[in-house]
Amino acid sequence: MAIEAAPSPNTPHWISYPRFLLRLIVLATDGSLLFYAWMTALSAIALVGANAWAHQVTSGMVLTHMTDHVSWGLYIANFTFVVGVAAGGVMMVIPAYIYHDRKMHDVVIFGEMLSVAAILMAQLFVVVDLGRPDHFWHLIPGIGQFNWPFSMLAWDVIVLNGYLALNLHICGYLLYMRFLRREPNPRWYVPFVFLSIVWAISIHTVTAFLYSGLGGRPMWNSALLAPRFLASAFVAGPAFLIVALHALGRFTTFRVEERPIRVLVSILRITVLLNLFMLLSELFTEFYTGGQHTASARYLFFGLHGHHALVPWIWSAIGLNVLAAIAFFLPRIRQNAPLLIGACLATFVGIWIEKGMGLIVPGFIPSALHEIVEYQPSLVEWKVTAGIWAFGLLVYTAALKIAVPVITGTSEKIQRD
Amino acid sequence: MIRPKPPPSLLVSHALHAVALLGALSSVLASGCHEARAEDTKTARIASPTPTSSARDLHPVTIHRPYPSLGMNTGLRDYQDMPSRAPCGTCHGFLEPKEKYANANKLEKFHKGVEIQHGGQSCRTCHALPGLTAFNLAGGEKVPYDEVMRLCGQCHAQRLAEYQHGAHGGMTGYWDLSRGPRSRNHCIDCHNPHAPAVPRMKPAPAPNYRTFD
Amino acid sequence: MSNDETSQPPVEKPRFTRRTALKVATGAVGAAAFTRAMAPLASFAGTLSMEELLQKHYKQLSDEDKQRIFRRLEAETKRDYGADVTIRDPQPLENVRYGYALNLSTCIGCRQCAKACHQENNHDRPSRNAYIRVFEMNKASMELANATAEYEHPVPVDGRRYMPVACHHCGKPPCVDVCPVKATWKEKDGIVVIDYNWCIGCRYCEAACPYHARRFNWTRPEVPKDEINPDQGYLSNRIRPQSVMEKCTFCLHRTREGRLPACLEACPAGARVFGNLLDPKSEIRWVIENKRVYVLKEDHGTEPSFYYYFSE
Repeated sequence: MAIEAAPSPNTPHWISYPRFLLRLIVLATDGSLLFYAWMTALSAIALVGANAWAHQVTSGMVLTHMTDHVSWGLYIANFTFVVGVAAGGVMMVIPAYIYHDRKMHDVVIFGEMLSVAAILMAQLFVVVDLGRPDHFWHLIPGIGQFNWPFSMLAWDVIVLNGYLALNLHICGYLLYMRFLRREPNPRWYVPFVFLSIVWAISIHTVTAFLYSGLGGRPMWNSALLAPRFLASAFVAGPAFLIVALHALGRFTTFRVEERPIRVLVSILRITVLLNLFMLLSELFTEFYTGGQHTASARYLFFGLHGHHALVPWIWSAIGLNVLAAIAFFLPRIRQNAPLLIGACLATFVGIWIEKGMGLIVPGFIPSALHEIVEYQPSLVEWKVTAGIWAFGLLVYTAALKIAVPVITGTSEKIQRD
Repeated sequence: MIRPKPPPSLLVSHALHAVALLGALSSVLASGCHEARAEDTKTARIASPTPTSSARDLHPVTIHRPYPSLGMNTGLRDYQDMPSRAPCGTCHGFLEPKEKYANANKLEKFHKGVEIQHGGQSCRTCHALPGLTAFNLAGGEKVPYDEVMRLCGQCHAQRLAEYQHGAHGGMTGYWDLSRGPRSRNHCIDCHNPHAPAVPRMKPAPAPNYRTFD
Repeated sequence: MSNDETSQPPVEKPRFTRRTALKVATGAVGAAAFTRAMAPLASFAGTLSMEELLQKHYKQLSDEDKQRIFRRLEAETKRDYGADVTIRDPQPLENVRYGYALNLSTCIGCRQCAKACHQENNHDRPSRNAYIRVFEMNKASMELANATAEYEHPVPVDGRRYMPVACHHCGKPPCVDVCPVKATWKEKDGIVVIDYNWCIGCRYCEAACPYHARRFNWTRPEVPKDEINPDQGYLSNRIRPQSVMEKCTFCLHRTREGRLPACLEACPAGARVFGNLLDPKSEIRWVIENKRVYVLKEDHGTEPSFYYYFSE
């Protein structure tokens, strides 16, 4: 890898910043054969997704299996989930900055980059769900008609873009300072880091409010929805980070220290139980009360009037979450990496089901007038979803590819802060 | 905006038909309402769209007269192979109905197709003797055939009240009578007075929304 | 990148290596593949005009803008459907607030109202889309979970009752609150309307409506040329573009000129009553003041303008 001349302190930013960006591109595209194979495969999937979306826009949303009864499906289910991952990515920030855990600093940037990739995915999931993406400019305040503060979608647009900007700034600033071989000035990132902790909570609260404010959808119209979202976000985020850290250890020169993983597992032990407890609370309220307002819950868990397409999904999700919870509490989880990775993947998938297909779709079944129309995603929807996940993984891999050399080269510097 | 006036004076004041026709009525199926309405909508559209200034200049509300001619279907065919209809007076101008038919609800000769399924009533309940040229009201008053709505209303008073307030009976035209007229169904457009229960009909098809069962 | 600069050999400038050439070539191939993948969008973009893409919100349009847009839409309808239509924009009448009532004792469930709505509003023919859904319910129960809108047997059936449901034009419409771009709003005569050219198709309003009143154009509507109703309103029954929301508009192209809505004219039983709630002598006021009246899902606080009543 060719090394550039260290930028002199007198180089103005408008020269060194483009050089920095070029450096990022070079770093992100340098790697082993395995790396290229991985990125090519992801690109291919992303292209398939893009093509499927182009067909969807041209022929209409009839290519999906959404209907006037179930008008949100796989796209919004994934949107809900990845916003949670974006919020959960900030979990590592809390112990690092609030509890001044020095060793956590090394891996904080991985969490923030996860947030960036996840927010980009969330925005893409919204765009592909729009019937008229060509009318997108109608959302821009000042030029369009932005319905703030009444529409929760308007709030979501603000908080998601703000969160993206925050994380891009934090990561970008730290990396840029490393590139310039300068000490990062705490004034330029520490307040933003604290802001990002609060903001992470807000993005997922606002996303929950999208659903919980609708009186016509009794399954969602619960005060517990926002806390449930946050609890499951703080399971999914750390779970993914643990898997990512292990992947880094396996495929790069970066060696993950035991300490950050131990902190994440400790967090997971709390949040996975909290998530299960909230589920229990929801189940009790629905099934003890009974009545028509609980028809969606009955459909989801037991089937309704002969319709039971989602029943295997939700019970698999609960099974995965319970198994993962048990696994996290086993003492040997710390030493047994495959067990830990398995438990993390299990709970990641379990929450994807529970929050995605297991929340968005049953909210529409039965419909507002108590009709039951079921939903299974179409091939086009699966392709587009796979394409966006591939894109997200592309972004995250590229981001890690950039961040790892930075951190391995300067971990000492950060510790001296 | 005025409410539709009581039927008799309305019919008299807005008589579309110059001659008061006598006779019995043929059975009218519910589907007959649609043909009537198409005509009414056309005339309703021609009316002026601009509001008139005073309350007195309200457009008329016309009650449809569903019977072009009153006459009993004799069951015979005329020289054009059309059903032959005879006004009541053709026979009953000189023939009195026999006493043995006083409580009948179904007759054999010349009154084919009329079977009374209307609360156990018989012909004489409504059709007044002599001559069968009018209807009996409960107090003994006779009303001409044109004012049959008064007869319906003496038992079905609540329904008549709803009708008069625009809450029963099909209509086409304008909700805002200062801008255009309205045309309304008569009771017997939908309800055959001899068997007034609305017959069952096949509904228009349900929407064809997608399901993935 | 080591931070120990003193022992580092002199740095070299990066050369344009074979690796870099490969990266650039792959990048170019990737960009070409992406363009190819998105190719179907080009045909979609071809159906849109620049003027349509940049069209402002209905409330910001001047009268000349409107005339220009209506002429353009009429030309597009001619081009796409082969029919000559006129698009008007009747304004709300003064001192009018619409109310609509339906007599549940009289409705026989014949669905003529839904059929008339389908024809009046130029709905997609294959899906038999209509704003009105008629539910057959058990007389002993008000619970919609025990009702069906799918009946095909002759009606009315003894012991059953029929309830058509369409947009209620709520006093506090949840759909208006949630729209992120203000594409739907309540006009001063009470009608909740949609600017079809402003809608972004996010379907949040469809999720928010407690009455399943809103419909989405999952595909471009298919209407045969000779069945198209040429008397069209910009905010009501013009043929909607693909991928936007639509719903009952109380036939505002008719009612704002004083005419009755299409569903009311089609009802053979005369079960429907429409008029101005602000006129104390109107039929709708009489119904509300003298009949046993209720609204659907009253506990939601939506304050519908559509009332159900009974004769007895």
